[in-house]
Amino acid sequence: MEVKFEEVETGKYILKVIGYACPFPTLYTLKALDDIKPNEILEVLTDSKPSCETIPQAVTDKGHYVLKVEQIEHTLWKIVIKKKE
Amino acid sequence: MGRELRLDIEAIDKFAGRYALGYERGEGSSHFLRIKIVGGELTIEQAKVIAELSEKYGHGYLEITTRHDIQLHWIKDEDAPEIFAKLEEVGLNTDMCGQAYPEAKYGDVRNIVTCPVSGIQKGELFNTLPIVKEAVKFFTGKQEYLDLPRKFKIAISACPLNCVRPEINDLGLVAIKSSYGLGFTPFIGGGIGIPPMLAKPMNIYVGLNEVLDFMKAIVEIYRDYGNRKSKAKARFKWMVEEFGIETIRKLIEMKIGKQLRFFDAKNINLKWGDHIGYQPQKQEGFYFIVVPILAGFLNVKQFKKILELVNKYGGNKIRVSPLQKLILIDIPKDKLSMVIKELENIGFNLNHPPIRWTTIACPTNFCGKALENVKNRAIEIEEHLEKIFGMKLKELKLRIAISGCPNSCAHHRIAEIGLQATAIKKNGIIKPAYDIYLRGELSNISQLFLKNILAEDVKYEIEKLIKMYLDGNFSSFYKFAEKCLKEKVNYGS
Repeated sequence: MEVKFEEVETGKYILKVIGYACPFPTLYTLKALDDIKPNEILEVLTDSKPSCETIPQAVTDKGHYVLKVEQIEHTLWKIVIKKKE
Repeated sequence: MGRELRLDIEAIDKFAGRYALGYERGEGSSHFLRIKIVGGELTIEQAKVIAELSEKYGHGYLEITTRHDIQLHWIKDEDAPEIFAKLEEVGLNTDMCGQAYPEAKYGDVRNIVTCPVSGIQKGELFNTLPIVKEAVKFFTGKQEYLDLPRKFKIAISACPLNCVRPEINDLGLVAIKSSYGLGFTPFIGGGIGIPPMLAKPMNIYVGLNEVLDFMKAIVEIYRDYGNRKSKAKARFKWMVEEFGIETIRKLIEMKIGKQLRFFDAKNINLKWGDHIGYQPQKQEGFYFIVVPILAGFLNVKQFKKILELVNKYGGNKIRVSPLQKLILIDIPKDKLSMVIKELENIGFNLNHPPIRWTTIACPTNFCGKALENVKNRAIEIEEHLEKIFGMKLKELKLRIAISGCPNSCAHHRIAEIGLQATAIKKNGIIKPAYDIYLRGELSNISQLFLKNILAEDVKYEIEKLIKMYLDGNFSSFYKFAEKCLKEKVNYGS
């Protein structure tokens, strides 16, 4: 299991959550959003397919914006989120 | 490479590996919470916490699964840490639900099933509960057992009825009394999803003091040698097919560092039966009652009333059965009739034929794999049969099991009458339907008998079958079913 949170460039962050089942990827995404500034970008990388539905649902419920959900490898997905103002 | 930041997740992360939510998309629920009831034994304190969680987060609904878990639905991600903390306080854990991953990985050892009346059942060889508790404690939360190719199912049975059906598990440990002493003989490679397979005997003896090491070794062998290339072929049954019993035995011997002792398992009588109604316990003067919870779900008000009733007769534990039932135990003989009466007031009248206890169904309305709620269909079928035949069904000891898909969560492929949901197109409209399976005398796996019966008609087809059986003077249902299957009689609809 791996959780890695890093700032890759100004205003852009990557959160990698590997090997976790629900609800952990969603909860860690919400935590990471708490830690960044409005309008900044968070890219979540996860190998949990259900999280591609549950993370967008949870973050949009809180008013953030889901910009993209894409499969980048056979078992790795990227969810791009913009934090609300 | 970016700048690594600290994420404040310790308070949540401590639950990872011991707690998880399952993913689903039915009835407006995104997640279920599958609480493992270890050995099916639940203290009243634990049961009260489950009731509280059901009320607060789960719409007051509770389901009992075929691995004696209690399942709640409509659980939200953000409520999970509080829920996990409550469960942890009373020593309860959940399944890891790794099936949501598209690859063959993150499988865990599922709740180990055993006879729900272990320790109180007359005729059992010995009490399996201490072994089950020790094994569950051993496997829970250990990283080295959380990335198996798929889930791994274990059953431990010392029950004269083999109520847990040990041969449908990846590992079924069947209690024996041999010249070596009391112990188990293992059956491996069972699983009744597509294609259904029954576990095969290893023809060895495993002593009571060796059984944990044996379980550990077999799970590790599966972890290390199981197929991770194809999820569809990653269950242990495929490994048993590929490697063969002898190779697996040798691998276990290498792991545990000693030879396993031969035991001829061919004469083991794995007769199947179920616990129904009320029975005297082996403890003189006490009874247990299997509460006839049809199709395995109840509301929290009923659940709390049952807990109050347990308190009233002086009990402090209940049992949860793999036949989707609750079992009241340690009822003093002089309070038995009071408890039966009170149960009736709660909505669980014991004056029903056995099929009230043995009609089971999966929660497909939540997983979304069928067009309709098969639990409701199970209730409709059972009530229809009771209405038509009444207490003529008293001697009819068979299971009617309804699954929403071929995964056989309700074990329809080993039931005497099994139904599998499907869909048919009629007048341009797609409608829910069922395929009907029967279990004859030649195999413990049921065989397809009728296909594509409209859901609304299925109760009449089963009525027809039962009428023919009751009128036919057959020496057993299996003989009747075999005749039906052999002659391919088309009863029409």
